[in-house]
Amino acid sequence: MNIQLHINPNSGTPLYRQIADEVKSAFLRGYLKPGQKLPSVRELASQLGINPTTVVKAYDLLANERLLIRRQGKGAFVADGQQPLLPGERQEQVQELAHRLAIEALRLGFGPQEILAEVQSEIQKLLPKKESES
Amino acid sequence: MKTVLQSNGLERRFGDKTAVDRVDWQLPQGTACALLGPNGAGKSTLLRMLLGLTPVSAGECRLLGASSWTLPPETRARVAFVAEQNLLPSWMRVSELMHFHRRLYPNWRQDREKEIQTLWEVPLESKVGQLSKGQQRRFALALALAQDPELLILDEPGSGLDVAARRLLLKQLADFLSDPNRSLVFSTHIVTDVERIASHVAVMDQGTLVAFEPLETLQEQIRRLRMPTELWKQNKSQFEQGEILKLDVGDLATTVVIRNVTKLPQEALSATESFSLPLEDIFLAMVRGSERA
Repeated sequence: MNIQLHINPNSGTPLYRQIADEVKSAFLRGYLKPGQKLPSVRELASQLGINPTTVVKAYDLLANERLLIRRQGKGAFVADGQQPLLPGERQEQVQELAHRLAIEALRLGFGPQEILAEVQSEIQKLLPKKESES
Repeated sequence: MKTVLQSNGLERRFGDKTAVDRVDWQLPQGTACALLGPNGAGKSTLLRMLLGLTPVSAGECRLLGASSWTLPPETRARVAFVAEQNLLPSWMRVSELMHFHRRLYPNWRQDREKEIQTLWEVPLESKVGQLSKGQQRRFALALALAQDPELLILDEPGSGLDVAARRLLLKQLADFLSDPNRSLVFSTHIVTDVERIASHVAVMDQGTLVAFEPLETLQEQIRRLRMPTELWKQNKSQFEQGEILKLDVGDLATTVVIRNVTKLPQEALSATESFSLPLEDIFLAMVRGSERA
């Protein structure tokens, strides 16, 4: 099974984080469906030519965020509930990210409109055309 | 946790030159350690002493619990080593050497024998001496992996390999490491391979082991900070607590590479921009020879 993840060693971002981000973006783009089985740690490590512990770390991260579910002896699956987190938790997580983004971007000298425009353009890259227009 | 490799006060002198200088090092089982350092830093000499291939001038070293210099054959059979130069007997045929290995190593993976020809593209009927440099290297790596060792030691495994062979090596190393009891040490100059394969990094410079840490620790703790030069002048002593690896003071802005950003007081960081460093820059900052870059 090949889920076509793209990683870039030496980019400064740890590989396990790159893998987790890639799985998330593959999910958003519809390349991964809810309930779909993910490659085993061994398979993915071999495919990408990386240390298996790095894949374990990426899967742990995704499991903590409830995007991935492990079934004993069967492997890892993309979570199927629409909202894997409780409503309060979702709110909290997005708030925390928005908070960090606001701080960092303001510190780097971005204005409020510029920050929103950056976010908008990232959203457009991830969502199919129709949804981002509405 | 078992230790697969250990050295205490290990030294090697050639005349008045000290190639390896008091190295204390312990590698836990299950580690995939990249050994890095500029040319002539002492990496190969260190590996050869650990393997008992060259005598030590002072100190001691052990491999899988046994003294390196008097390594019993049973222990030797659990370790595979690929040197930078070819050490295979040139007068033997590839197939003969393969059969020889089959009898020598208890964990020999007979199912991998066909890969030597199909994947590694080494012709079985040639004599080792007739193989190209790249073929010899691929053959040596394939033999080492087929031994299914507990400890695999590779000196510059990527050198002399083309892109496809390097990818195959990375894939097979990933497979090798899927058993958490196996350990790997590899010296290399190819930084992207380090990031792919290494769980730990050891850095040598001028014979000394200057760092041995989990890769993640290096990536998270070494940061490049940029700030107004005025701020740098005010807070210099605070930044020094984190060990400065590199410093560039400009008229307006100052950039400093800090070894351990978690040791800095919080207020020192408040008005600085903080960047993560690509591994390549981390290693350059850690070795003293880096001034020439």
